Amino acid sequence: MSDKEEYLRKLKEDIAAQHAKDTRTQQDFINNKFIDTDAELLAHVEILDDPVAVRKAMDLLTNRNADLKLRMLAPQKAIAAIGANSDYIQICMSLLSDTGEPEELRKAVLTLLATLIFSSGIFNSQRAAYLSILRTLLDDDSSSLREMAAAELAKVKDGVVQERLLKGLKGEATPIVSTIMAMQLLGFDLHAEQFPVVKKILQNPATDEPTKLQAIRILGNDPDSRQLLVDLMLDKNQPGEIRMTSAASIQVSHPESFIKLAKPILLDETESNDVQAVVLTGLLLNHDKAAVYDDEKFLNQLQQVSLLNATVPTLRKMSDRLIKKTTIERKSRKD
Amino acid sequence: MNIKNLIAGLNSSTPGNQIAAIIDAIKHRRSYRKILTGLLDIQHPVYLGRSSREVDHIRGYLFASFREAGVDSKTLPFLLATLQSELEVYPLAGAAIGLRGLTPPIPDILHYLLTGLNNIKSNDDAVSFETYVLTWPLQNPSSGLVEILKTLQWMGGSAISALIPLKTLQGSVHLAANVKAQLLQTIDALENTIPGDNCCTFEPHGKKRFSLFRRYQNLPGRVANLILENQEGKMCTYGQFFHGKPSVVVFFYTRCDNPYKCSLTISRLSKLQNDLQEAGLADKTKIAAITYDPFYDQPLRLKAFCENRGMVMNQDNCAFRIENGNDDLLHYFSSEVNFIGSIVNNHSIELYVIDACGKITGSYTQLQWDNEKVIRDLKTQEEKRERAAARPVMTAFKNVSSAFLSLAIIFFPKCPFCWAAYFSFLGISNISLFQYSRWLMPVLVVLLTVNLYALFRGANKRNGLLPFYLSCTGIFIVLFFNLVIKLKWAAFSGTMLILAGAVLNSIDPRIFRHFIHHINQVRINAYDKTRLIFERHALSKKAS
Repeated sequence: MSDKEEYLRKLKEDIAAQHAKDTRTQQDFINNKFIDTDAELLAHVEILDDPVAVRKAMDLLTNRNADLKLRMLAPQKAIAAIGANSDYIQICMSLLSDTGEPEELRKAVLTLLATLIFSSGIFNSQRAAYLSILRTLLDDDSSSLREMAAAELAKVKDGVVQERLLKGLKGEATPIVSTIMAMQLLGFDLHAEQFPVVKKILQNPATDEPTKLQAIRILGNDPDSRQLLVDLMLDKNQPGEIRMTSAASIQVSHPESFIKLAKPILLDETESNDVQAVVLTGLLLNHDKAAVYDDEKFLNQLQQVSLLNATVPTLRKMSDRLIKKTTIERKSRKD
Repeated sequence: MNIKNLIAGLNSSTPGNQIAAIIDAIKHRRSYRKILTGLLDIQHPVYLGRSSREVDHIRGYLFASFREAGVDSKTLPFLLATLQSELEVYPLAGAAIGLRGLTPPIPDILHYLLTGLNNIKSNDDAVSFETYVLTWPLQNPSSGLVEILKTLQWMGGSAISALIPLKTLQGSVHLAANVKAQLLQTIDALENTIPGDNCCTFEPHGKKRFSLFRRYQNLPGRVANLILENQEGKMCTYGQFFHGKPSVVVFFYTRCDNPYKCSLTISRLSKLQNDLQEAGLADKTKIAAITYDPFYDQPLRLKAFCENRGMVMNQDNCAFRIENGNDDLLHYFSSEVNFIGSIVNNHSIELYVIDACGKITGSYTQLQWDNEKVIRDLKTQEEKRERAAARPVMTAFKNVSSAFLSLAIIFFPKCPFCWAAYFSFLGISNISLFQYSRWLMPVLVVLLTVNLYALFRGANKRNGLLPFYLSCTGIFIVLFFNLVIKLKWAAFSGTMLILAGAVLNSIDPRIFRHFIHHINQVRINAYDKTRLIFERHALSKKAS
């Protein structure tokens, strides 16, 4: 018997054993009359697929007297069965919108529904109702539920959440999420009108560094912010993180400008080694091979600087890699 | 305040609910339909600087208002294009509602409604058009699919052929309970209706760019000189590429997130390439795909995007970006696009047919173009080009007449002051021929003074002080050297200077600036070349 056949035979045996175990544990779960021991039994089940077991799990989910952990665990085990039944999906959605239910449970249900939106074949039939609930949740008392709902809506480029996030950033309404998260969520849609306000946040001297970093990441997509990012990248007085993130943003959005800016940074002996490392990575990833590998003068100078950088092994290694790649690139072109 | 003034005052900073209030105020008055139709243009300033979703919201609300305002032939393509190419539920639902303003229903819209139904089948959403500002949860929510089905039901006998696809849809697991209920209701209504008499039809046609003087007009200089960079990073001007062969131009951008717009446009362009090949026109035509987003769409991105969608790229089939002057190009094409900063916030599907001289002769916008019709247009242009090539004398005459006509248009006096200058120039040089010259003289001097004053006052708005100085000098020469010292040559030179001043002032300021810019360029180039020659000469001397 070949290795492959042996492997397949073993795999089949393992699956059958697991299935038998699941059937047994599900049966135990169905037959169990004591709610206290349900949690322990559920913990041993991989997936609930028996219709009776799923029904019992749903009963546990909606039972306000049951233990919270058990209520949260039950739908997780039956996720596939819930995704195949629109009545069960509706039960989950009504729990999500019920402000009388514990926050932890509603968060668990929202996570479950967020999984079903792409894994369930029939979830589309509930999509309109689900999005409506999420929009209502933007005003929920629970900040974490607000954040989760905003994130789910932002993923589908929803106009309602975009408007709320923008108003929050502009100070026209109470923010529903933190500034950093608002920028991150608006960043999912290029056409969300966020760039002017994000630019203002970045240029405000009172803005803290993590917020500035997020703003730089967002502004990488904005052609009108190119000069601002270039200035930050070249300003040696800026913190290293700000300069490195600016460099990465420019490298992604404006690769042609990046090459021109990167070369002098690499050849500048007074430059920060961290910034040089980011810039070198950017050059290695750049698609415009001719601009990187055909610049003889730059490569010769880099070779000399690389020898001086013997004290910084990573940088030295990367410079050598670029030079080696040049040789390979040129050789492949000749061939 | 007058409604027309309110509409005229709409701009990018007008709040959405204020726009909606104006729409609500006029939608019941059919006489105002033209005003609503004007708002449909994507390039309308009201959409400038807004997010895509806000534009969708305003346009969706506007579309729905045509149910009351009524739909005419200008409105219809906008509604149908939304159903054909939109993925956002709100504008699509608005378009479906707006179609109910058609009297009577046209069977041809059925295809577009079914396309819209298919587009949002898997991503339906709750909508409401009762108010512009929506409060969640909605009180009486409808949905995109429900609104399309309601419009099909409203079509009655004209939508009977939709029964088969609707019955197929019944088995779909993607439909919500309210959509299924509306679907059953629609099927039931259509089954119990009498087939319509199909009295009216709608067939999308390309628009012809008709101009009486087109054949005599040159391509605007600012467009002809625009520098295009192709997918290989090679540069050429608009005038160089769009010359010698008829062409097709489409607009797109690689960051477009609607698969039914830019991505499909390039895919369909590659199909057009194949069809042109089969029609034997591949070598006789050019194809250009121009990006709306030149800062992001670098040559490598253009190349990858077009090639991945099957477009064959070579010297006559290119994707272009224009870093400087993109606005001029979009203005020349009257392109249906609007922006938020440098990012596109909404655009239409656009294909233009260009003649062998680079001038636009036709366009297919909003709805997807039909390859057969585009090929027919290109054939017509190619035949015209061949005819022109076979008649060189006529072509030469046209060129000369075109130059003459251009001069006539440029130098035609456009204001009373210009007329004064022309008349005084014609009069003062031949004043001795008039019998009453003694009395005419002061009149002409007054006219010249008026002309001088106008030239001085208008210097900032028009072409600077050069025309004023020329006229001043001319008048001095005529009055002093000709009339006082009686030098004959002075009449001629003085009047020529007055004429030159009047002519320079008559030229359109943009053309004048372009002209001056061109002269400066020539001067700078000449200076650079001379310097280069001297430097080379100096170097060679040194080397020797």
